[in-house]
Amino acid sequence: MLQAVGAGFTSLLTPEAVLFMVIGVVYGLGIGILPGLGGIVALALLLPFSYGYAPIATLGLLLSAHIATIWGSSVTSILFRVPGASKSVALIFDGYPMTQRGEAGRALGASATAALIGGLVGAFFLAVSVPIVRPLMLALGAPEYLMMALWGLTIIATFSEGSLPKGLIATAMGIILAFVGMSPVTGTPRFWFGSVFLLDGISFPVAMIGLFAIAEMMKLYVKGGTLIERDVGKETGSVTKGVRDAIQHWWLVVRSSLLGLWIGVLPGIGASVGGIAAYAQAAQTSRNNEDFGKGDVRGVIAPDATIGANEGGGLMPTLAFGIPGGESMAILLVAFYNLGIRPGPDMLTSHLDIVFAMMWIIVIANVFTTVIGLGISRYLARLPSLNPNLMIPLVVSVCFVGAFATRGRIEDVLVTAAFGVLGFFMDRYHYSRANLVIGMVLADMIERNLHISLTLYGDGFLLVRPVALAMFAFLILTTAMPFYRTWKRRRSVSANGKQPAGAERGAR
Amino acid sequence: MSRRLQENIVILALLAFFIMILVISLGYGPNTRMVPVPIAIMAIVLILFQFVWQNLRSADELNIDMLEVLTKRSSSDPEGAGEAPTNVPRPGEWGRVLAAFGMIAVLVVAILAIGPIPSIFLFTAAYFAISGHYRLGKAVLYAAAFAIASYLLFIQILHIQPYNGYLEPVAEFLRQLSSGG
Repeated sequence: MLQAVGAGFTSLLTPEAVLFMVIGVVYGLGIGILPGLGGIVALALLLPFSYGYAPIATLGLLLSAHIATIWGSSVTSILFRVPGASKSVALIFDGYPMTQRGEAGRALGASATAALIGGLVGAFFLAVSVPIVRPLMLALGAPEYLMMALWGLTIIATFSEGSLPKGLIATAMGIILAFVGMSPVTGTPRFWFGSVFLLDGISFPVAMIGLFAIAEMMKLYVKGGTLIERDVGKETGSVTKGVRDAIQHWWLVVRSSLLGLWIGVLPGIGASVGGIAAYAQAAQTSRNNEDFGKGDVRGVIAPDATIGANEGGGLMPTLAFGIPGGESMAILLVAFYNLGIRPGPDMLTSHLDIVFAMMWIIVIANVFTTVIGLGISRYLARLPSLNPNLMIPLVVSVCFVGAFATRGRIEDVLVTAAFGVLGFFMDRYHYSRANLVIGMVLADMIERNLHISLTLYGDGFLLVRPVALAMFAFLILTTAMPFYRTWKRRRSVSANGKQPAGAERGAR
Repeated sequence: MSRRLQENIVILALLAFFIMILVISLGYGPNTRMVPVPIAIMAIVLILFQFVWQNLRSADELNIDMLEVLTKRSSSDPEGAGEAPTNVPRPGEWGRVLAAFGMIAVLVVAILAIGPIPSIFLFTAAYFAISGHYRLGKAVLYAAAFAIASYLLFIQILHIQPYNGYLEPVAEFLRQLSSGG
């Protein structure tokens, strides 16, 4: 195994591979930082370039671009409140308030460092666990995946911005929108209204661009003024302070990284749930959590460490079973086939050097991204003060061209506009857009695994799958926990309210 | 238009949407409708609950932030109070909302008619000039630079198949000209 680790590293020591990794990081940062254009678009646009070059160098290009866009997406969440990808949604909760407070540099420094540590943890995990995790992965079946997806939905439901029913309505809308097109189970066309274009379903990146980027630009136009109300000169946070924050909260970084690994390993979940779950666990388990949602640096560190670690975990099912760990991994899987790499048990035996080469690419790309990212953070921190008369036409234009470029279909421009209007109204009336997106992401997984569970195990499938039953109990527990805590807190508040009166009586 | 009336219009639109989804889904086979039907029914129940809730409660209680619940943040915090102005439309705001929709609609129609690259040139130039950010000459210059950069990135480097709309004959002529040359 050590020989394979060495062979993986030496295969990257070619000028072509190093150049491709640098290009990948720069390209990924560029695409990732453009609001609305995330890793999925970046990878999809790179697919045509996955022919004709050495496989390892091409893998370097693709994986480096992917790693860099992840941090780029975090940047747009922190600076613009526009997540570049659904996985970065959680970063807007505290990252954007930090920017508003003049601490964008600190937030970016903490974000880059947490992502680096998370990425290194992910790469290390990929290296040591490939042979170990395989039996565990095989033990999980459709009922367990169904429970995992439902857990993802309940987590976001408890984190709805605005009222809980509105959050759940948004989730239901996301699930229904994901059902547009051919049913993956029966092959029946659904909600297509006679349009051949809709038979292919709604493209996830296109919907994201509309829902967040276009809607944000419309909001900015309606609001007027700068992107956020602050003066550039009042930037008080430093990048190095952010780096120190991430190191200071090392235990949170480790916890969040491990969560990211676990979620990454589970096929189909991806980092979309991971970022929000990391935020939830940070808010629930941290002491002095009153500042969460108001610009607490821990609300930036936790999701970024999770997202960073998620990639190493996500590569595991992609390589070992050909089951993508998320949307980006699905695109990588297509690239693997283009390069002649066939995921499966062979990868863990005869092509172990490729697996370790990928591990080294993750390490090197994370280091490149952090070094470049920290270097440009002070300039990025000034971006939100750009005049909207400059920002709106440029961002709106790039979004529409990007939406068209995703599949090369002009109808996607209409879909982007429709989702832009939808996102605008959802934001205006406090229906969570993040809930809608995650509903869309998990819909297919829920439907597919429900059908498989019923077919294989019958109506009482939970009773014959103890692991799924335990996960179901965990799901109920985690859903009920916030409500229990609130009830307990209210009870203690009312008890404390009565105490002085009682004490007074006692004193008499 | 009061905030409550706006909320009611939105919730009724959502109700109509999910009823439509339910009716359509009932026309599918049992396996195809297995998830959409329960989801639509659940959404309709939630919508009715929300409708009753928002009409029985005071306007201030229309939203419960679960983030507050989890982080034990009081809704009376100054930051929370910042949300209040959204309930009161500013004068002329609906005009700007309509203008924002118009802006998106104009760009979409332009893209469908003449393709993305010429459209973004016209759109950015017009936006720069009308907003007064740049004078006409500079607006055209910067918009042209942006359109050329977009063309190079998307069409030349990323090899996206261009869409030219009604300008396709012109594009075809240019293609023939370049291949002939």
